Amino acid sequence: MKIYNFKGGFHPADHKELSAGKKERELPLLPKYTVILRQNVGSAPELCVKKGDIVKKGTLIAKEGAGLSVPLHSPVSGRVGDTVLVPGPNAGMVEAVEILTDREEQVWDTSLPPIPDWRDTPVKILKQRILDGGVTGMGGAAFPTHIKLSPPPEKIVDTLILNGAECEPYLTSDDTLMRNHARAVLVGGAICAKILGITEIYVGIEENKPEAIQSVEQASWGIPGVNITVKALPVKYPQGGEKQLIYALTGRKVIVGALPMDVGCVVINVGSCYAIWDAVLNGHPLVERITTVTGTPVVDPGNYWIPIGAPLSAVLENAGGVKADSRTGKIIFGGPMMGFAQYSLDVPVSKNTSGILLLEESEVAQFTGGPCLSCGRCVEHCPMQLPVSTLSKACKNERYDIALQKHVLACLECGVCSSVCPARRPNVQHFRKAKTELKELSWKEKNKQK
Amino acid sequence: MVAALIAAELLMTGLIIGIIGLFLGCVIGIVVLFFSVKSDDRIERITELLPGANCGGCGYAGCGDFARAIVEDGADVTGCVACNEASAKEIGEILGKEFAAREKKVAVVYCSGDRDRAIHCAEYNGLSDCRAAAAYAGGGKGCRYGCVGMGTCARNCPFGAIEIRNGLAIVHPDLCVGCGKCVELCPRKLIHLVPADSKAHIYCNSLEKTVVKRKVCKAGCIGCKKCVKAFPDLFNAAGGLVRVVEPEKLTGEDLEKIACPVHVLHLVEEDFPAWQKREKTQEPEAEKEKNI
Amino acid sequence: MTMSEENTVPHASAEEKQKVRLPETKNLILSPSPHIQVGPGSAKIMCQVIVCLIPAIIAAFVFFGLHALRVLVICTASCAAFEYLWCLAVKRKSTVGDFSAVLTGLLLGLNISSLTPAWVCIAGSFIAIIIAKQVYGGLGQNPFNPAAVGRIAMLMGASGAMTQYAVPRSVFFAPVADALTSATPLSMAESAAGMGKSLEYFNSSGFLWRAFTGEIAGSLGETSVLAVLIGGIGLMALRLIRWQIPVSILATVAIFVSLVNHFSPGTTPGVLFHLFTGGLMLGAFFMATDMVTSPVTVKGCIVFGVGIGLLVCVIRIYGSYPEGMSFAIVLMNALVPLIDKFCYIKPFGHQNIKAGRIEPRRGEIK
Repeated sequence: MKIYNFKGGFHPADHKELSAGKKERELPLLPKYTVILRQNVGSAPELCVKKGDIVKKGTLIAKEGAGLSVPLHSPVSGRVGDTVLVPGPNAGMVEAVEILTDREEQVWDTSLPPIPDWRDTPVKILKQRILDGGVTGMGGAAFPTHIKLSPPPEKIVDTLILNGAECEPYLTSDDTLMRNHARAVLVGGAICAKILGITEIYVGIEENKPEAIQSVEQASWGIPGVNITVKALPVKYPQGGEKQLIYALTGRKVIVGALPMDVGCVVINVGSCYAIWDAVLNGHPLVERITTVTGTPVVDPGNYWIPIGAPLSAVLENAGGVKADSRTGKIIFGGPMMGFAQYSLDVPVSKNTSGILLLEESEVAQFTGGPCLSCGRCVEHCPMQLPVSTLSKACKNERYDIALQKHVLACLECGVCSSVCPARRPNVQHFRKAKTELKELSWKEKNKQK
Repeated sequence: MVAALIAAELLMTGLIIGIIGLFLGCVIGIVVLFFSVKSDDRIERITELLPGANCGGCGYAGCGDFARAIVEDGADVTGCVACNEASAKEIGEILGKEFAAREKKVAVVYCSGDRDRAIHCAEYNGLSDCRAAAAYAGGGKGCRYGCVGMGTCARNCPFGAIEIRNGLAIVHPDLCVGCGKCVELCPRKLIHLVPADSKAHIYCNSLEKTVVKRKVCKAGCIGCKKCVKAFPDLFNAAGGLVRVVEPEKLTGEDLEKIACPVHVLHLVEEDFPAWQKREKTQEPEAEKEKNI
Repeated sequence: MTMSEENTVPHASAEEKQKVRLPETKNLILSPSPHIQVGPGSAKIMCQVIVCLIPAIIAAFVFFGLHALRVLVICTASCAAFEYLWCLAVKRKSTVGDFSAVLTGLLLGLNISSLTPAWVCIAGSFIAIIIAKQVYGGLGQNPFNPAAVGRIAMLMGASGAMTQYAVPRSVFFAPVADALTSATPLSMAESAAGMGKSLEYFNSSGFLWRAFTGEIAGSLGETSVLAVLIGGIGLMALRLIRWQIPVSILATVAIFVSLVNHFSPGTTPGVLFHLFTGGLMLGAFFMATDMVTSPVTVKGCIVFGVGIGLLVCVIRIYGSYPEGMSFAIVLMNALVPLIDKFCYIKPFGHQNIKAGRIEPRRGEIK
């Protein structure tokens, strides 16, 4: 099977050795968990418990709302506390509900019975289970998975791709899942394949994870009904971007403005597959996830299973805190290329926090916004092959019409252009702003027409 | 002899150039006669009477477009917020209609949190634009309702009426015409249009509880409601934030009676010390409206 | 996840709690992604280019002595001074720290003869920095290469003073003529070809070796091909320039000259002569590859290089000037926006609009 190499991308230093290959650990029980209500793309779920209600681990605390939404479950057994405002992972204050832990055994809620014979279960029931489990995209996108697995009937999907590339530097959570729980991941993938009605599964893993590749290959024997091919991909950022991954594994190019299902593919992160396996075979809704806590200042970096709602301060304390001689410049939720910087230690972990990265002050990027030298590095390395220097100048002068014409909406916001720019221009922020302004403009025009 | 020759040459040159110029002038005149575009000269006269700032407050693409709309589509002249009464009357005379006066509004920024009084929760390193920084906790400002202070409103004001003083936007009411552009642009939506003769406002926009508010800003409204108790009709309380209902009715003596403990309720003119000097030399009522 | 073990609330001892140190939130930086940067900054790139120019500077000193240093120092100092004064005059932060003025000064100095009077150098620096760069808005906004424009202005304005070339000090070879000044090999070849004389000498290996090491008359940087090549290889190794530009320039010149020699022999000396003399090497590696004034895309760079090569040959062989590199560079700089437009790379997954429409996604404008 041929591997296609997409143009662009770059090779930042890996730093994966800080946390790769270490034993998975769990966070000890905390007295209070603050669970953010809206942890997915779309609308927030509606709270269906009130203060003082007794909940078990996995009890439904918020029903899915209208439109794109997934339900929310309690991460521990205990009592429901107040609804509060906490700093959210995207630099705003968001609504969250407190769950106070009782000093008891942690008991799982059994309202979702396990489905061991998923091969003979109708697709509708499996999809409903994925929705009831509150499964969203765990790679960082937080798109409701049950909707991703329900493409409209006119789109013919023939390939399922499991995204194990993990191209971001520092992160190793997907690597750990694939090394230690490969079977579970592949069974989750097989469930997705059954829902979509297809038999071809491709697993894309970057070449710098040989143990994971071996583990997944071994586990792929003996899962009936699907044909699993594991492919080692060249190490390049952003190899894990869905358009680049689809091109690498199948050679199909997703057209600018279209979705992967338009070329017959569906891409699911391996973490989401694990969550699907847990929801279907164990009856456990998504309340816990594996997160890489890493970075030079961290005393004990590694991969931890963290329940949603655990505050950042507790996670860092459990990882040994920061070294005495370090000056932390940034705390990032996600990877260093696409993650979001945090300013408070009270922000809780959510379903899509794939990594918690601390960067030393000297390692942090400094944007100075110098004049563009037209050196062409951004254009050379852009994975979408956009004319980045022109777009950057247009956005700086607020000429969003030119930016639109030059396909600013196709930007992945992967961050490669800003990383390689010698003039240290904040290109990604320019393009994010351009997209917001264009969206508002089109919304205004639509309203005017009404 | 030589001088005469040179003089004769110069004369010939001048004459030839002059004749060519005259000829070309005649050609231009003939072209203008035959090829001129017929346009209603009322549109041109009205365009000259309008302020000419192309602010878009009328909803049309600039003053020329608005003039065309007035003449052809019958648009109302009061749509132009920047137009003063004298010009509106003249435009009415051109069209043979009567136009009623429009209540003048100005913009005001409901925030007092400049760099000295508002507390920052993080260092921000990114674009110096309020709308871009709003996605990053407002550029690191602790209060999520407060003025980001990077000047997007000031840069886009067509009349140059907004000043950024120490990280806080302040609208100059004498320059503002109320076109509403800043109101649309502000990502925190804390600029409001108020009657032009407003005397005092409560310069705070935060709906947080007082305890939380005081942690991030020393200048916010604490919701003590002294003002509401003193003049219940003129103030409207909504939790931790009070708003002035009729700002044109408040006077300096009223404010002294209330004695707002955080001084977030203050007179508009306190922000502009130059006014007090000017008022002493001019007559108080003849604040001539400038047609910019 | 198997939760068979009981998890109780941990009782961390007091000392353990004291040892765990959390980061200070006051020092945290809030900025958009990406959070890491790779590669050198603008100033560092300029410095690296200057370092690659050092072999050429050393060669200039070896062959032309202190006069070479005098010219280089005057050009560099006046370029930096003019930039600083301009920034003062327009009330902006001084941009001398990004080393682009220093680089322009060095390149300008390397492009002129060692006998250039000081006032010509200063006037040329003024034109290079103020007229050709700052007036357009500073670094990154100028359409024309400042050093090339400065050199052309000096040539036009003070051609007498500019066309006096010193005889190089004889380091490796025996001295050719007993004179202080001499014409450049290019102008000698042109006059010889014009008079119908034989061009044997210019194709002889003796002469070509002189041209390669740099012991010929000419401007400071253009004589020593060896030094420029060392610098050029350094540039390509450090990935500071697009290698497509110098390679396409040299290849085009080689092909064109061989074609001319094939169809009308005697018009001009051979390929190696053209490659080793004149400002071709210096221009190809250091001036045409200036990032600001060269195309952004790789395809565009090849077109740019071919254009420069053609223009240089045409000017040298058929034009009235003996040397055409600066003109060729400036003329192609004028075409760079057009080249960028036509060599525009299509985005990944771009489809020809005529070939069918795709429904735009939510939020996108049709």
